[in-house]
Amino acid sequence: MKLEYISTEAADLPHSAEGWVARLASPEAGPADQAAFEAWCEASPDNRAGYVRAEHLHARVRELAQDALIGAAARAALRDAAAQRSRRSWRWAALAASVALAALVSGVYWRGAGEQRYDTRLGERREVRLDDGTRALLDTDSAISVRYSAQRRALTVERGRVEIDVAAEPGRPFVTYAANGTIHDIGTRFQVSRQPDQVLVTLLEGEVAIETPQSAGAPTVLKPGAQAQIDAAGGIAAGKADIDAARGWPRGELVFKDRALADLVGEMNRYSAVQVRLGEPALGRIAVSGVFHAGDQEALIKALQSGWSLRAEREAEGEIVLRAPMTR
Amino acid sequence: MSRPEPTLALIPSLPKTAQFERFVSDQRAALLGFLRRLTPCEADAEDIAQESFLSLVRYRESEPVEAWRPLLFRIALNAFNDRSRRGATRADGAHLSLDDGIVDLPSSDVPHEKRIADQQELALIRETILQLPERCRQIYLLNRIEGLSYTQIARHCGISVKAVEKQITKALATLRERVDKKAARAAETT
Repeated sequence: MKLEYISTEAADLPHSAEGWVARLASPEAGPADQAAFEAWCEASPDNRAGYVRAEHLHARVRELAQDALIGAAARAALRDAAAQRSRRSWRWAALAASVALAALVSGVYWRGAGEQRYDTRLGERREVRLDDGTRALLDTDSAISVRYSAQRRALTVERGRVEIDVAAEPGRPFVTYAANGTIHDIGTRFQVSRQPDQVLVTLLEGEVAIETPQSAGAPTVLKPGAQAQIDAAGGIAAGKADIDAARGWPRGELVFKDRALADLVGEMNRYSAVQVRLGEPALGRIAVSGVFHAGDQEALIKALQSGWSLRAEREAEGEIVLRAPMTR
Repeated sequence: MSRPEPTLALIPSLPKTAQFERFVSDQRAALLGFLRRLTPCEADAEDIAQESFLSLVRYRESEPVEAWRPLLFRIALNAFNDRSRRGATRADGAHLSLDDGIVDLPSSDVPHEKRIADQQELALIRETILQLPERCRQIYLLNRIEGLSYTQIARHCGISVKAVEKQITKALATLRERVDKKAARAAETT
């Protein structure tokens, strides 16, 4: 395989310290680049000092990962860059086709990055686009890891909830793992919610086959609109999915139709540092319906106060307790 | 479209520790060869190589695999420069100065002035990044903060891998110029 030397023609060599930092991290950098870099370092102490300084600043940027503004700008970049692509794709179509081949060749060589991990913080929702075009939308406080090889694509739901829109790729199956459940799919869109005692799989489009170590070669096949519940013992129960709820959360909307208040409160609490607690267990059985904005505890409290006459009290920092209406 | 034979297809499934071992064995000879050309002293070259790999262990988990090589060479060059400055003496401070700047030392181990300077530098870095031209800022943040590889960014933005490299070069050049200029100005006024 000689193609990895493509980018190493002499005319193409970086001529600054910054250029070398950027080149050495490129999947297109080959042995010729490395040799040229070393010669450049030997040429002068200034070159070496410049490289050290540039690499130092480059590395320090990672310390800003927790910075609110930088984090917001980075997430905006994830969304905007994709939007810009679709607007100008006609200009880049030809170029992208030629690059795809180069990426494929270098990808095999340098895909040492191996496992990629993505996660979201409390209250955050984030869409990631994987190498093959597969899209994963992570709900609040969720984490996935992704391992792609030439033969297969594997995604593990480590915690939380994720909607996966799988790019069809014949010959390279996509397999999703969540606790004891294994989900095989065929070009599809589905959601996986990993909960403490069970895993829920909701199918929106296409078809999936689900198995556990206990399902003994007889996988459960889901049709769109169906939901499977995998329990800790490896049992799989299929039923009808709440499609409105499934369509709602990716947009930040929690859709509840005649569900227990305890479920609603539990769900809302997943998105917020402010925790709502029921003062009396009996309140949990109240049936509620409505569309609630994930993370907006204030609006939830207001709705419960006006619609169900519940009383809300801020008992401790970050905790709101709901109580039954006063009896007269 | 047929895929090239996946000669190294096993790598992606290796845990990071195994990838690191592999990285060390792949890069050791290259780094030693490079250092030998910088310093005539074989023992120095071997010491620096050894210390550089040891320093790099700290970044094994926090830095993506493709960042290891540039980082390794920075650490090695830094160590070499330090030794040249100190002359032949092998002072016991060698370990501390190897890769200062982003060492995660407990704060009490770092002199107060240095901590302040580090914080000021980080604030300057932050300010400069936020002022970068939009496209350049987006690509740089996708790489450094979101942890996307050049290949992923290229696909995400619909540009070439080479264009990603160019934008990262541009971001870094702006970063170094502004941070160093502002730091110099701050030093003048104090």
